[in-house]
Amino acid sequence: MKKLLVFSLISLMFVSSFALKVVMVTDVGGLGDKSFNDGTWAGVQMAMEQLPNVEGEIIISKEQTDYIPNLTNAAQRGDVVIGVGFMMADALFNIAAQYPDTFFIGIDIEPSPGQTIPNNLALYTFKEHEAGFLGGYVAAAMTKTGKIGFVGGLEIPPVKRYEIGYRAGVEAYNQIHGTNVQVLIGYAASFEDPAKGKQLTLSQYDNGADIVFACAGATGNGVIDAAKETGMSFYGLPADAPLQQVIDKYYEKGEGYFAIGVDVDQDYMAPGYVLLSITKKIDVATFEGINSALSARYFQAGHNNLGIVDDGVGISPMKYTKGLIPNEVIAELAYLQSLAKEGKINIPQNEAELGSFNASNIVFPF
Amino acid sequence: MKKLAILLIIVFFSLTAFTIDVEAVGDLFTTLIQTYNEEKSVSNEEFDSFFQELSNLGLYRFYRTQMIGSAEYVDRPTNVQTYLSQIYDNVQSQFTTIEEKLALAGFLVYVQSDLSGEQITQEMIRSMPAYFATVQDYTRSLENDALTYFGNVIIYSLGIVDTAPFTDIQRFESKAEILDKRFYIYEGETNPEYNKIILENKESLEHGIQQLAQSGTTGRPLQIAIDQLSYNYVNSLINETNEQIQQVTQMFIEEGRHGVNISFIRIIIYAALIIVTFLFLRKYFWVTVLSMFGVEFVYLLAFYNPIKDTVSSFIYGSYIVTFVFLFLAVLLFKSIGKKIKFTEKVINFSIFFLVLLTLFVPSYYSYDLLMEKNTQFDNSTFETQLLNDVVAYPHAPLHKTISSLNSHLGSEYSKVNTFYRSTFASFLDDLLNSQVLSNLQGSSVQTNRDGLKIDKVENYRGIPFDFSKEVTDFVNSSEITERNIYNEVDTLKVQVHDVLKFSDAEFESKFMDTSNQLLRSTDLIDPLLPTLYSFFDVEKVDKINLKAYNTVFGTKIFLLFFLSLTILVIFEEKFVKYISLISMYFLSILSFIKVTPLEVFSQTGYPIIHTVDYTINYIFGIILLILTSLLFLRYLHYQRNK
Repeated sequence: MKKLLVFSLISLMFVSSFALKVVMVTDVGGLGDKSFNDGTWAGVQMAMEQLPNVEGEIIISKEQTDYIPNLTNAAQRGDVVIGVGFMMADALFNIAAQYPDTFFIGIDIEPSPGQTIPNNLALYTFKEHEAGFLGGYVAAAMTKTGKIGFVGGLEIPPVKRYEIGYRAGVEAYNQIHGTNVQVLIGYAASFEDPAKGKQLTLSQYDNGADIVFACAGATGNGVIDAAKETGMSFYGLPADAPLQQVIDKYYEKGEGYFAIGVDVDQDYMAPGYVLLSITKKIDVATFEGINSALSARYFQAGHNNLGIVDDGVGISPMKYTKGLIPNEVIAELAYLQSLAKEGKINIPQNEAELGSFNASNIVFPF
Repeated sequence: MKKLAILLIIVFFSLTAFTIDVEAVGDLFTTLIQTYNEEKSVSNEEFDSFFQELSNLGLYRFYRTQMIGSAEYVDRPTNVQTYLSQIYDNVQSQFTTIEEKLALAGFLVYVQSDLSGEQITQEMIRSMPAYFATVQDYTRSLENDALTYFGNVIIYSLGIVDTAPFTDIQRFESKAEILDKRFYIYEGETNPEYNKIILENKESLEHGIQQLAQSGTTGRPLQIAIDQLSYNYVNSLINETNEQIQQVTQMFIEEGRHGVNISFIRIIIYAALIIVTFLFLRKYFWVTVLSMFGVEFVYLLAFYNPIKDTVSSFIYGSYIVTFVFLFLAVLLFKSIGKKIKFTEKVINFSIFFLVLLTLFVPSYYSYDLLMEKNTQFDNSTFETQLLNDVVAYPHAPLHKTISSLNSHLGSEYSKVNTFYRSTFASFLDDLLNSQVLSNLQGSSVQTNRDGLKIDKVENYRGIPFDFSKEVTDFVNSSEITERNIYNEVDTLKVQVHDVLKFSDAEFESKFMDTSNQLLRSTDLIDPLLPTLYSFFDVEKVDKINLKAYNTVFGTKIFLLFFLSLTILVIFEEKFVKYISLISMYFLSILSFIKVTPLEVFSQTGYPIIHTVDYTINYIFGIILLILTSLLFLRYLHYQRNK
């Protein structure tokens, strides 16, 4: 009996030692941004479902001054702390060094030049320019007006990389097909202002754009609203019109108004009006980070920069709009993706590279 | 009793295996601090390379400020902790044991606290990359060693391998496999400390292994489960190490404590005296202020350290800016006022002008701070850092300018290319399709007679009209881009000049190589290259200008001069006026005196650098003398007209 009790206690200790408490700290966009806060939380939930004894908890940051106290609180309560967003970088580095026995995961956070990364900190960033390139190429192929738009939140590096990649995709399309598709650029100076996003998008539609990339966190929700509102009005359809009617109207009119989602698959937010979403596999990166934290020896400390070759970025499956995209464009896109995976195309990530970007030598084998 | 004895032995051995000699860390830490504090007068060969790098850090920030200013060009600039940790990386090969490495990392925290004038805190220690990297590497290697040992025993017990450093354990039947054996094969000798822990916990360990065998877990989940099982026996050792590290950090805080700077108390006393005198002895208010001025004069001149006395530096820094601004504004009004006499206007304007000059005229010329005179800076970490900051990093000013230039060139090429390949081709297509033209071959154009008849005016005039709008847009856009391109070229010229005039041949060569790589990233820039390369022919400075406030001694003169000026302006008593004028004359004369070595600020929070081979710019002292004389004249003039 005594032995059984000892064994039971040991077994309990053995099992409980597996428990891993994950605490995610959102950036100011908060949960429900339908962007990378939601994407990260989806990764935490995936870990809770698929990994043994993983518990998840979330702390919402209301403003930037919350980052340090929230991360400190999370480090005191959890085994794994997840910080989300570029703006949290300094706070995350600071707190990770203070709590060496806790694992930290930074989503969309990169080290500054020469910065030492503590070995309890894993950073995941994404090659946004590669994802933007694919979206820009499809948008250039789909525009009927020869103008497409871009609405950014703050002009921070990841957003700028999206913009450069998006423009590079358009540039590639122009060079390959001899077209002159132009890109209108606007920044809302906020990630939390859907009204501003809507206003900028409507202005870009007025200036001739018919597809606008919402690269602005929660501000981007306004871009999608604007696409739906303008599209409905253009098609003469009510808000609750079924998808079939929206698609039929597009074919009938031969043109329409679209938004492009960002970070996660946002196509569902306005089916038929969101052409596609330019995505980072935030949920997968988060899951991998948590999975690696199950043992210190597997923890993916350091900077992990994921691109097309890692399947870390891409575009959504276009569940509602794939029928609108000509097969030729789908095939070209697949070929460009294969070139990127083989390293045969160098997608620009800054203005200088974009300036000297040359895609005119790409020949499709069909 | 027997079990207790075994337990004590286990604890003893585990302590020896995971022990950090805190006393040894403390001894080396205090030795390093002593050497650091005596370094100005004593040469210590053992730590020469460290102090050389520390001096290079100061030089790096100094040159950086000279070349591109003190502004940071990135949202998250590199901090002094990272730079100090770079020194650690360079010299750590001389420090082999964990005790030495910890002492060096702790010492760097001491240097940081010394440079910033702040006391060492736990947070400061833990944020130092050299410290957290050392501690984490050490604890992780101990942890890995123990986990691999226990892991090897567990997979032996599970029948995955047939060898282990400890084999006196029950073996179980299982089909378990692991994917990555490198973490579970212990390469070292059998370890008696680990063996004793296993023996002591054999029953529970075997039970855990049995559970693993029965669970059917395999692959990576099994690896994780093995590690988790091992942690149950390794954790106590890890915790012990963490406690020792905690003792070490506590020792850093205690041994590295600077004497508390109590000089700020004088400010409180001044405030109390001012209030008391103002309320009860207002008649003698000027006496109190004059006495305070006297004390302050002696304190600033003899004891004030602008880096360490942060309270005084903050107060005087705020005071100088406010006072100079107000004083100049009043003088300017008194120089242009209608009812003011001409002589007075001339004097006021001259004072206004001379005060401005004191901010811009150098007071010293240094020769040994030239980069070519500091050969130890060549090929150092901080020379590379300087190169990164001015040109190599994407946020570096020159990098951004070149990127922007390349971007404009690319954009122009793209627009021109599209115009001729697409817009122009469409124009011709439209003319052919509408039968305005019948054939087009090279430059040979054949028109269609029917297409040029008046009923086709919408075609033969409408198409060119639309095209003309596109041509106008194209030309306007091209003109704007051309202006942008040449603006960037002009900016580049200035930036290259600012960098190269302070460079030695070595740095110039590296700078040109890096710039060339960036410039050569596109062939579109080729036509501009001869012009751009001509910018690199820059005459070097033969001395470095140091303004008064760039040096410790000059700052003292500067502060006291303006403090005296304040007293002169505010108080009406003749005695106060004369005392302040005498002190201003005295300070003017002090600016002609050569202090060796002259301490030069590199940047706040970074090491001070020294110059020995320098000359005094007498013009600065003469300006102070003339300024004082003009103020004296102004006072006499005022007295006469009273």
